[in-house]
Amino acid sequence: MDIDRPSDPQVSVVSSDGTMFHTTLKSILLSGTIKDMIEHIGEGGVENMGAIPLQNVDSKTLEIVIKWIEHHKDNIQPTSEEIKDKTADFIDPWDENFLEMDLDKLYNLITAANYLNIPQLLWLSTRKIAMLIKNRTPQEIRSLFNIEDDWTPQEIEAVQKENQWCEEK
Amino acid sequence: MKSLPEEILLHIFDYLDNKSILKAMKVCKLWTEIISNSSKLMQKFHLFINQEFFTTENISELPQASIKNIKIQNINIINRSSHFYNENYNFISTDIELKKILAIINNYQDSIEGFEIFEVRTRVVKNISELIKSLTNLSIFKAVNITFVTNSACSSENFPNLKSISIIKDNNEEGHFENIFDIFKFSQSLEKVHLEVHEGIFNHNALSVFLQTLPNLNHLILDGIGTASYFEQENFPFKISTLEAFSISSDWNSMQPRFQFLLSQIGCLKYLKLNRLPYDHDGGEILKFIIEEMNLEKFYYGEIPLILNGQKQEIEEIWFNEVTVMAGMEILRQFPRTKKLHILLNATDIFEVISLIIDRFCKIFLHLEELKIVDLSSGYHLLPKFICIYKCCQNVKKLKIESNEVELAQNLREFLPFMTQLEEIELDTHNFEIIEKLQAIYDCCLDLKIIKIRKQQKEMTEIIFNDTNIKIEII
Repeated sequence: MDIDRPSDPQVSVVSSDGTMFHTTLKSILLSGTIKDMIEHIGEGGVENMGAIPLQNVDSKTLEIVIKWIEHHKDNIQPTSEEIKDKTADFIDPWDENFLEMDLDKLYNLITAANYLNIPQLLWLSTRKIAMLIKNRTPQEIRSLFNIEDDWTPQEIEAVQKENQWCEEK
Repeated sequence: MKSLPEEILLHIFDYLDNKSILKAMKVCKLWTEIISNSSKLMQKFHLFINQEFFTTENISELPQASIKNIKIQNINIINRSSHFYNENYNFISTDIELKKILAIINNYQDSIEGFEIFEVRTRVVKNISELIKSLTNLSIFKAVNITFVTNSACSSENFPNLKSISIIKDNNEEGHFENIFDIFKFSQSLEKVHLEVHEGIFNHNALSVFLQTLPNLNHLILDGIGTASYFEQENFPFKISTLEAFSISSDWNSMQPRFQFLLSQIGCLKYLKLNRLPYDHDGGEILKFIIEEMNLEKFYYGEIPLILNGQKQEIEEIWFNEVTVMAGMEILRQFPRTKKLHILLNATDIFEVISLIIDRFCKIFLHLEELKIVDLSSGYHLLPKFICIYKCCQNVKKLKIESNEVELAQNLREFLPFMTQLEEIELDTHNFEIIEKLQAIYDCCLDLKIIKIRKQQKEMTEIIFNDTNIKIEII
């Protein structure tokens, strides 16, 4: 099947809660998972293909994902291999702005980007979380991410002692 | 955050610098666990200094803080003009390099917990002492093939968190690696000492003197041929709970039993691992003593657990060689459900044959179902020396022999009639003559079903056994 046709046909996807979204083939192909599905499609081609069900992505998250892939559909996407070596600090201001969302949404986006295999989006969203961790104390990190402190005072004392030097500097 | 899978958390942590990773480890137990189990993340805390290190611009790109482990490899810290210069080391370092290494290490003096030295050669032990003495959090020290060209002493340094040191030597470079002990003498916190000497000899006295300065030593590993002779001395300057040793006897030809060590550790030693059984003459008795009197929680022979939680275990297979026969038989006596015996015959010039005492043991072989003899003793003719043992293995169903003994045919004829249950025999030999005699040899084996033989010998064997139901297979 020729998936590189210039016409960019319409494709539909359905979220886990049953909402249908329309987007274009070029956009949806940024997802490695969907690309694999479409490449294995039999006769009939993309035009006759029904809506693609996405059991692991809810409608709120799918809407965000579609916004991102439609914006980036004409950009060359790095492979996951290339992203491993990526240290670039330059982030597209559009992306920076796009990622301004509450943590719940961000988690869902990360999970969706992972499931749909969109390496660049996964990279951006996980990096965003890393930035949030970077300049915070352990307690601030806990309250930000709503993590329960399961260390006993004795345990934390031992860890603290072990890592003393990282606080001093 | 707990809803994110581990895989994604690892993605996130990967973007963090060392300081932030350490911080993340304090957030919760799950995060700590995920980070500690990731070799990729932990790798960020390692600094590896080798010959290329100085030729590249690495030094200016060093991480700013939080290096936990340093490994120095293949560096010759000897002055270039020195006559100790050694061609075998790719990199010739001068005092300047020594100073450079020191400067790097000093960057991390509070964070370094592990220090490893591989294939490092230097003039005196003081050079190494200078490198590490400022590391107040040092917990693990390891040196593999460290060589001090000149025998010299150095004063001990204080490492309040030092838990374990490992000194391993498997090259035959001459030198005085024992000097390294000096640095760690009188350590209050040191619990584990691991010494492994595979080549050359080591100075027992230096080890003893060192060990008696350690009040909290409880785990000793003495591995490598030659370390067993350590247990020949009279006094042991420690009481330990764990010993992993190559062997606790060193001279297979001596009549002198060596119980002193075991007696000195009774009541404290709980875990013993021996890679080789105690040698003959004292072997059977020592092993009996270990199993019956030492009250061990765990006793391993190589990888085979003989005792766990103080209970004798069932063992599948046991092996011994020509100088540990007695100890091997003691194991068979103590563990009567063992089904497989593996006898390895190397090339030792033994005079004594155990046939005189075999009467005492003959019953222990009746339980065996499988016997394997690997005879590498060409010239020493050890295979026939143990025929009295093979004769006792009257219930084996499978026999496997690997031997180029010239008298093999005659030997087989001597003991095969005793193995009345034999169903399968595997014969791995260069000895071609034997094939012609096979039929006569196997006449006594009424239940024989399978003969395994080398490929080149198959055709001939098939002709001989043409009118029987015996299956001929290739090894």
